[in-house]
Amino acid sequence: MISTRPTHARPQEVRADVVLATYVAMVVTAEAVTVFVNITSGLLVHAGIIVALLIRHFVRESTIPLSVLALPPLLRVLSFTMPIPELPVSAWYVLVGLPVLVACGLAMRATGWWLPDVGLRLRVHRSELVAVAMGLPLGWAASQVYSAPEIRLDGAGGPWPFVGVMLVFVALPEELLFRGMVQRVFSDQLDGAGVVLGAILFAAMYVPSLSPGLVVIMGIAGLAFGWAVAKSGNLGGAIAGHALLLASVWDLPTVLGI
Amino acid sequence: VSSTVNEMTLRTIQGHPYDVVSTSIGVLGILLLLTLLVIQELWNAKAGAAGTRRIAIFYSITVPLCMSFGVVVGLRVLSLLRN
Repeated sequence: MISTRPTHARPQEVRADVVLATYVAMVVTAEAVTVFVNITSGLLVHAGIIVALLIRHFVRESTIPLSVLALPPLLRVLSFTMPIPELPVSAWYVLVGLPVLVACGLAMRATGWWLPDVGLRLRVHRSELVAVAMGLPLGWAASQVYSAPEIRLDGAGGPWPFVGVMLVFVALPEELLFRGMVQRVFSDQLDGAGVVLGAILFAAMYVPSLSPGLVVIMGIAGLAFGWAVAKSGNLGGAIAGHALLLASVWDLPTVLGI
Repeated sequence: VSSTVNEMTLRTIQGHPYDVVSTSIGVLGILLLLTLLVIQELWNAKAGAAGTRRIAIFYSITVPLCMSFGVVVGLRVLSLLRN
């Protein structure tokens, strides 16, 4: 009897929604372990996720650029290994944000994405105004549930360089990573549900802030910014909204003496 | 209020001597870097020139980890020189 079945049948590809939901669940677990068990164990889980994603990238061709998903766990590893205790906290944002920007740039290059592919383009869309408008109220709400660490501007070279640092090394890398790259991967596979999954991942990365209220608010921010980016294909509104959110939490007008 | 520098980061870096932080968390970052470099070389040997493009994705993780390696090791060397 001649069998019609191929002798080297490829194993069935796991569904994209299952892969991505499992990935988000693993990152949430890693963040929970970081907070509720200890930091070393949490970072071990994050390191395991990075190694697993990269190995899978090579062992099996996938339609999902899984390697981009290694960036959020990398961000967490860098947030504990890069800060230098002798420097002011405002400089830590540069120390962590800079390698995150480098990582995003190299990941874009490896996946063949250009600046417009991740939403960095000179174009304004009406839906971006939603993200900008959400920044201040969300920041005010965040300031009610979370007391941000005191800003010492003495080591930051004055107030305006600090504002620049917040924009370039906090708002830009977080939006580029979570909305420009990770949400793009999610939305390519899951359409509208990708925005929700991206917001869950974004909120989970705020679990180490030790403020449940802030996690919820950042989840709402993730949904608002994610929707604006999905609708406009542009990161500008989300970056501006994120920067306004930071300004509200830190009460920057008072800090700047305005 | 950032996912990059959060409450846990502040408590860890400001609440412990850097020697303790670098010999636990810092070493973990270095071990991750070494693991990825080994996997990268193994894949390089296996795939050869054809795998060069796929190898590029490793750089997005290993280059930032090299920067972290520089900070951790640099600070330890400085600390040794001061003592």
